[in-house]
Amino acid sequence: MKMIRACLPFILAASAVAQLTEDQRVSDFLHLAGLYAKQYAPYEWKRETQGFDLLNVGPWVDRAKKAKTDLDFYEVMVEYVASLNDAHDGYQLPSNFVARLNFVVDLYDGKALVDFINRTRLPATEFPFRIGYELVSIDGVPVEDLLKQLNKYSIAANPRSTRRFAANYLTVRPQALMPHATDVGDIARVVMRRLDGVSETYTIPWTKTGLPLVNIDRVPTPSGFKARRAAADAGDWRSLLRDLQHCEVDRRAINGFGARAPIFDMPAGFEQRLGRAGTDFFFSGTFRAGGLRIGFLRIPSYAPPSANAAFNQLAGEVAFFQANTDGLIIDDMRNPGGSVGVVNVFLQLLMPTKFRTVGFEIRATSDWVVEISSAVESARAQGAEQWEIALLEQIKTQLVEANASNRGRTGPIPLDDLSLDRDPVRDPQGRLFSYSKPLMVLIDELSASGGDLFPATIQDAKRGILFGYRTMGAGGNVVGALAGPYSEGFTTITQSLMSRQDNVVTSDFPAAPYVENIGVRPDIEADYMTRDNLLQNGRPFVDSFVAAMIDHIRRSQQ
Amino acid sequence: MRIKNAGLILLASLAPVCFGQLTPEQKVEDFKVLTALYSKQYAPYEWKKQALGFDMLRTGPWLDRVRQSKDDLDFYEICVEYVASLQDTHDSFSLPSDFFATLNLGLDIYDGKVLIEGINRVRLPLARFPFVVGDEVVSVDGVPVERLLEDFAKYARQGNLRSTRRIAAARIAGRPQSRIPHAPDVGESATVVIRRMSGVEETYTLPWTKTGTPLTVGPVPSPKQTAAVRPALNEDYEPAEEPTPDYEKAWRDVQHAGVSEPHALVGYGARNPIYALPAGFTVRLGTSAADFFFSGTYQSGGQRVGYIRIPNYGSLSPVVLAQFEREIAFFEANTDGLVVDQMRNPGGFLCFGENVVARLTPGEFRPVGYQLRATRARLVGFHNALQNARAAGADQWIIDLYESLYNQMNQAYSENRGLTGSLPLCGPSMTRQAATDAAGRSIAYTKPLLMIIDEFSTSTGDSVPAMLQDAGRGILFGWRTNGAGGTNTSFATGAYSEGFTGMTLGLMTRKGPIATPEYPAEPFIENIGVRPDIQVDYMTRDNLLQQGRPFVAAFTEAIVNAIRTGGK
Repeated sequence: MKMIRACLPFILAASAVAQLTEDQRVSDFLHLAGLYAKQYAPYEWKRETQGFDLLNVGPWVDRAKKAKTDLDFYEVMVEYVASLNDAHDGYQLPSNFVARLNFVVDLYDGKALVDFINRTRLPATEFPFRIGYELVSIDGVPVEDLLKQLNKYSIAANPRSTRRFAANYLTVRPQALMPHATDVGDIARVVMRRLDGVSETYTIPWTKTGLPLVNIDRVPTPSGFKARRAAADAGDWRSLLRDLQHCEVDRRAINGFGARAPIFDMPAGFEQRLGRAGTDFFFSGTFRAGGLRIGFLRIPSYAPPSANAAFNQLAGEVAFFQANTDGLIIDDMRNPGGSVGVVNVFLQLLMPTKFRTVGFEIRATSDWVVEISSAVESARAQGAEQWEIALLEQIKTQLVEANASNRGRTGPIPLDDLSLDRDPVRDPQGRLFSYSKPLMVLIDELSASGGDLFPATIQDAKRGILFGYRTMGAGGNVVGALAGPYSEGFTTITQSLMSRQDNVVTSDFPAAPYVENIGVRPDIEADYMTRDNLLQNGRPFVDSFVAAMIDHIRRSQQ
Repeated sequence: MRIKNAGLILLASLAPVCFGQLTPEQKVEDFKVLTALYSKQYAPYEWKKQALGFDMLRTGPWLDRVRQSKDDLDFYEICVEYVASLQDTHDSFSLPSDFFATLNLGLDIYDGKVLIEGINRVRLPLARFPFVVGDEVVSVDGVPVERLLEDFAKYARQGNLRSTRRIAAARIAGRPQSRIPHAPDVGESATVVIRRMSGVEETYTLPWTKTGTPLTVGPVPSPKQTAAVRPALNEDYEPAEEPTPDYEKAWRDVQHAGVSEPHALVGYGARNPIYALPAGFTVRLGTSAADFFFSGTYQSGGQRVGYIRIPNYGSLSPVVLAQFEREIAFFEANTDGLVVDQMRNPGGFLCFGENVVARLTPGEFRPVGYQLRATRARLVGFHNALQNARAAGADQWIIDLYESLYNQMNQAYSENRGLTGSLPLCGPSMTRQAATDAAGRSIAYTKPLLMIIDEFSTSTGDSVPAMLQDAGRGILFGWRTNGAGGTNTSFATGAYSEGFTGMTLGLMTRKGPIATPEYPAEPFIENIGVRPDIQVDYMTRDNLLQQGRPFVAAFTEAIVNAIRTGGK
């Protein structure tokens, strides 16, 4: 066998190494497709609404066979998963390579405008472009063409969210998502349009980090090939519920996505309460407008470091707002989601009457059955509370039944309590504790997953008005899986469908109770993504929602 | 999280079950995924081909069997058997099932016979079931025990035959479906013939106690072509680990060398020893929940003997290492020799093991080296670790180690099924000195040492006695170790069948080739195990009935002799 080798120079692997064989590519593609055939919950919904049948893999297998390089094969894998148009689901390569131009753009007024510049890398003296400039082209390719090319790496359940992620990838290219990210040169010729309409051209270096994936390593194929979840720790039964309740999308490099502070400046006279201390999960405060005192609370995500601490912090704010405001604005924009259980207890603090939360239709697999079965046993053995055992048994019954039918899903079931019906929070004397005054929720196309669920429940309960833009439509819970032993990829799979109280009627989808793709539609549509908002730190948008809130409070008082 | 409201409790009703089957195409695809995982990830491929004659890449006959399998459970049997053919303690195929059937008996092999070593008297009251510990099981449902041991070997495969047979014995009376696909086929009761110690045979009807949910695979359509994570090792004490810096995660991952065997062996990984300590034994550790180890002292032959049991190597907590150091300091000051028990030790983190050796060996020693199978994910992991270590200002030796690991991995990655050379994983070189205190003074135990090993000294439990033997430090007493000589992890495998399989990612290597009658001379621990200097078998009926008294007397005599002869 081998002796210890001397330390070799720190060099990147040369490109002239072996490729995946055709058999290996086909095998890995079929493994990926098999994972979705077995586990993916919204199969029928996607077939109906997206015209994509994930089980029709013939053309994909042909493409996998014909792929000329490993990276071309990875492109096929990425594109197959992207065809689901599912914000939770994306295929990832085993690579940590990222190329950056050190500025970031997002879509404002439909144009790719600069909204962040790394001035350490791009000093103003040498690169005098500014926030608000429009990115016109890179290396001679117009931005609109680039956005179309980048679309498949940026899937976010609806066209607008997808285009915004794609805009992000104009200048940030992670190979984990974009197989050919390594093809960028050393520099890019970037054309910018100034605010006065004059175009300027810059030569900007790509900053590259990580280890490029050029080819996957060689291994022999087992000779029988012709051409063609760590199991959870059975003792930790709560981990199963945590997995089921996980409703979150990847936090991408969009400004303020999942951040505590809002994306806009608060109105003059805003008195901040939370948001300064390291222990503050929320950003909150009050301001006066139209003779009213209005509360403001931003929920950055539903994945706080401590759910109990966040609940207590929110309860404290609710008590204050109830005593000291005429109405409350909740900012749920740019929220990547988190835990269903956290969403629901936050909702309970904001609902003065009984309400129905969103249920989940779970794609049943043997893996879920065994995990829930073990969890029931563990919960009993460890003396869990009776309601917890009853919840697990209820989910188990549904999963066992669904697992027996062809690609079965459960009915819409609660994942964090015994019933979809929830009560408001009351104090020890039985008095209502939850916030009971007028409520407004700010949403946008980056209100995702748990961030979809929150406004969906508010709207179903007619609890307040939704202001902003339709939410992302990432309506399920998600797990990850290794996909393809030879190519070592990773993919995420939606294993359930959020199911609302009633069918939602829209112009672009069949009437259905789902959040997936449909998103949650605002009562008052207002677009934050304008150049005016970018250059004025959101002032027009803030003025607009403040006016709407004043109107909402006054109507409620009549 | 939940707020305690009065919740509406829905009545749970059991659903009627109809059974779907995997299609032949789905079974073939899943089997291919399983074999591809081994093709890509498995480190000891060449060794298994050389030593066992099993070529895991020759899958044609297996695929034929898969195509011909009549039902889902038969397909799982083939997957189990394929992985079992590697004869690798680290690697076994698990089904997605928590079903378990037990006869409420504990069985193991003593004096070559399957003897009862435990009886659940709540389920099997003495009045109705008058057999006792030490009685022999002759047959179950008319099948002789020897035949059952052969049949069950594939559900119990270890790195050596003796360990395999012992786990198989446990499986006769305790059948987890995660390892035995047809476990739910047991009836309501079993007819068990038991030979009492008097020699009289008696027949009992023992009920099977069943828990969990038997596996049924939910049906799904296949895609159409153009045509077509470790259970806790130590239940006694699990101290909190310190937060791991990001740059250490990839390193920690390759340091895992441990196993789990559900429903198998008494005392496997347990803090307390399997035998009773001698009269007059003074316990130091082992009575408090905070004690990771069991330790104490006793007098024999005019010598004061220290004793410490290492239950497993599953902890990375500095608290545990500090507890070990305190004991060693005490023993150095207050004993004439030390017995270290690492029988029935399922391993854990190999650097914990290396740290133990550095506290038992007063001089220089050679750590076990590791030949790692290079994959893209591991290459990226080490690349990230190196960058993060530099960014975080890690110690220079850590940066040097990571750079060396990365470079070796990168070189191996460019080869066909490349393995690295033999690498140190716990420090910068293949030479290591005794542990020292803050002043640079050695804190290692210097007096005569005896380590107890057996066929369930596994994985890191193999590597620790190997390092001691290579360093010429102390006496190994007992039985050959398991021969689980690698670092390992596990993977989900098969999209349709949802199986799970263990995977050996690296091969432990010793100072030089080991000559044995059964295997080619190689420096590996895999299959070969570590051979004792004094061979004594704990697995006798005498030990079972006397709580190990003959065995304890034997190792006590050995350590006293070693003390008198200056450690020889």
